[in-house]
Amino acid sequence: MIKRVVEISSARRHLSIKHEQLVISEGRQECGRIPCEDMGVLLVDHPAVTYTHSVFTKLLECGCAVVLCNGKHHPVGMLLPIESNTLQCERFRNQIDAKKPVKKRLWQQIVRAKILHQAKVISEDELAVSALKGMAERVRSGDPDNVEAQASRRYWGVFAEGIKFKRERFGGPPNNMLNYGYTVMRAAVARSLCCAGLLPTLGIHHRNKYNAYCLADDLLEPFRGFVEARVRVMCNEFEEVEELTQEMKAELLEVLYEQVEIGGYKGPLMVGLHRTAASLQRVFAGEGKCLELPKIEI
Amino acid sequence: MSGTTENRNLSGYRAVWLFAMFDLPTDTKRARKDYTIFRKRLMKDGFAMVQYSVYVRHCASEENAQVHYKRVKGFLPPEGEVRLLQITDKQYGRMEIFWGKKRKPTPAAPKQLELF
Repeated sequence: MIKRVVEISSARRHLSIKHEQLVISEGRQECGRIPCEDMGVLLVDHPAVTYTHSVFTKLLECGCAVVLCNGKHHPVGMLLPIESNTLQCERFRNQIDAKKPVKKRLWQQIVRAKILHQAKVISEDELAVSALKGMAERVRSGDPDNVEAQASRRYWGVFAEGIKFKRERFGGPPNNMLNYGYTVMRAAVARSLCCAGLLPTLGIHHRNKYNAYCLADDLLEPFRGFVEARVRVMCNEFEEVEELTQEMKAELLEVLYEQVEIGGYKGPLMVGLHRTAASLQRVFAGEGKCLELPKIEI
Repeated sequence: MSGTTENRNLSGYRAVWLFAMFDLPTDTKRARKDYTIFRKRLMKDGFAMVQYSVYVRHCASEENAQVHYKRVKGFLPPEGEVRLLQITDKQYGRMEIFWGKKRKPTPAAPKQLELF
């Protein structure tokens, strides 16, 4: 089921719940109401927003992810539902007990898909495309040669032709667009993992002990291309700005509704993510070998 | 927010609107109680009032509308008349609203994506 993405960032809003609907108001004036069960991601990026407690509890009960940003517009945390799947316990167990070779093979599939997606984003540069395709072929189980990094270097080199661009987390524009896009995508991925009854914390490759969403970051890799392709188009559309405008954010958020094809399913990306998460769960349970990832035609 | 008709439907689904219209008895205390319960259940299911006894809900897809159809059927009041009607987003966008003789703009459909 397609869900709504809501961002609160323009002014001092107050969020509350009435009749199981999320009520967004400014002072005494109500600006909008959204049924909680229609919510997919709530992103709050304004320092003076106030909440009632039930906003969080109700939204989480409805399986909505809540992303909170700090004064620098950086996401500092995410709330995800604990009880989002009825078979959760068994599935956690499968995930924890997954053997190393299984995880390595998964990582190989993910890196391959990521590199192919990168090739698609820069499809006009034939030289780089063939190089990336060759690299994707060379990815071994668990990617011990770190082909991922080699591909990324090549890719970011050609990514933004004509603008001086270095991909850095806190770098200048268009890094801010990429960060914003990744954040939203990551929240959507984490949410789909929870719905599939997996722990977003336990990664298959990412193992940073300070990162609470390792698995979400792993699974995010093949989907980054969607954000990057969008940012590339936007670089030509908009002036470089330090602060993203609402218009830019809306355009980045729309990535979640792009049409994709995942394992025979055609429809919005946000719904397709559930297929990917479900296929990952099957691999952990030993019922399948392949991840269902977006089909990429170069 | 633009008008409904020119809304790009981001989700790739055809959005629909579900109307719930009802006439319920309010003669006894019990009937009024049932009326209130029904009305509140409607709101909890995401319906919003457009006129007295006329409530509407935006559903992102046909399948989703079916879910809410079923739900409303599940909490119908013991007496009185309830009508459920489903129309497409395009038809909803063509609705004309008048206030006296003055035309009011048609409210826009909620987008899949909203910025407040």
